Amino acid sequence: MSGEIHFDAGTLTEYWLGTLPKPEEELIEEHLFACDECSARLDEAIALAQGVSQIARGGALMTVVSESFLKDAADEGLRVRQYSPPAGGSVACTVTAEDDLLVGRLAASLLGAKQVDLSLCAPTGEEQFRLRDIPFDASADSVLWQQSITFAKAAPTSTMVARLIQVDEAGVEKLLVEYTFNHTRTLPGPGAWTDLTP
Amino acid sequence: MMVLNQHRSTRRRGQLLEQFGVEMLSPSPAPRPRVDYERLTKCVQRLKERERAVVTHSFYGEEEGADIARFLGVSEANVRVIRHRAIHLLRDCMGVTR
Repeated sequence: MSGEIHFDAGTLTEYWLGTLPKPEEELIEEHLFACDECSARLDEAIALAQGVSQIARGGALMTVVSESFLKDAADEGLRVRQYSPPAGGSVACTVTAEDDLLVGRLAASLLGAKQVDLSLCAPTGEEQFRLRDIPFDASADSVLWQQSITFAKAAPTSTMVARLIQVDEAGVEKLLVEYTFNHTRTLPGPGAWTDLTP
Repeated sequence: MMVLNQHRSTRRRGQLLEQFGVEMLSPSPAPRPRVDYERLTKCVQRLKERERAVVTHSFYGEEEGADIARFLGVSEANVRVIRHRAIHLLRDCMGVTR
C-alpha cells in the first residue's frame, strides 16, 4: 500500500492537528510507518505550521484576530498593546520595545453585513492597504485588527485612518465607520519614512 | 509508533502519552526542516484574509475547528477546506516541491 497511495500536505496537516476521523487517522498512521516520502512531507508540513505559529506569535502580521487568539497570547505571557478608538473618533497611540502584539479594537455593529473590508488609509483618505473580506462575528461589538508590530516599531510619528467598509453582492461599497490612529514614535529612529528610491 | 510520535503536536503528544505511556515516545525527535521566516511572513501576508486567519488560529494556540468556524462564520468543514487551500498556497509560495 505504501508504494501506491500517498497523502498530500493538507491531509497530513489535518492528521497532525488530530482533526481526521479515526479510521482515516489510523490509515495514515499505518502508511507513515512504511512511506518515507509521506513522512518527509509530514515533516515539511509540521515545519510550515510551526513556522506560521512562530510568525503569528511574533506579531509581524497585519491581520484580524479573535478574542481567543489574544487570550492565548496573554496566557503565553506576550505583551499585547491595545487601543480602542471610539467609532468615528481618534486615539493617541504608540508602541514600545517591550510590546509583542499591537491591536486596535474597532467598535462596530456589523449586523446584517455579508462582506466587510478593512481599509487602511493616509489622513488624506488615500488607501494604503486593504484586508478584504475580514472574518467577523456579527453578534460581537468590535473587530480586532492586529497591526504589524514590526511596522509599528519602525513607523515615524504619523496618522493612519482605519475604515470598515461593507461590500454588497454587487460589489457596491458603503463606509460603515472609521477610526483615526495618531501614532507617536517613542523608539529611536528617523522622523519620517526614508525614501530609498534613486 | 515511535516514528509517528515525532510528528505529533504537543496536544497530540499528550493524548498519546496518556494512551501508551512515556516509554513509547522517542527521546530524541528528528530535526525539522529549516524555515525561511522572512519569506514565510511574506507568504502568509499574501494569503486572503480568511486563509490567513485560519492558519494563524489553527497553528498558534491550536484552536479547535469549532472555535475558528465560529470566528469566521462558516462550518468546520469549510475551515478544513480553507486550511487545505492555504497550506498548498504557502507551500507553493515557499517553493516546497515534495
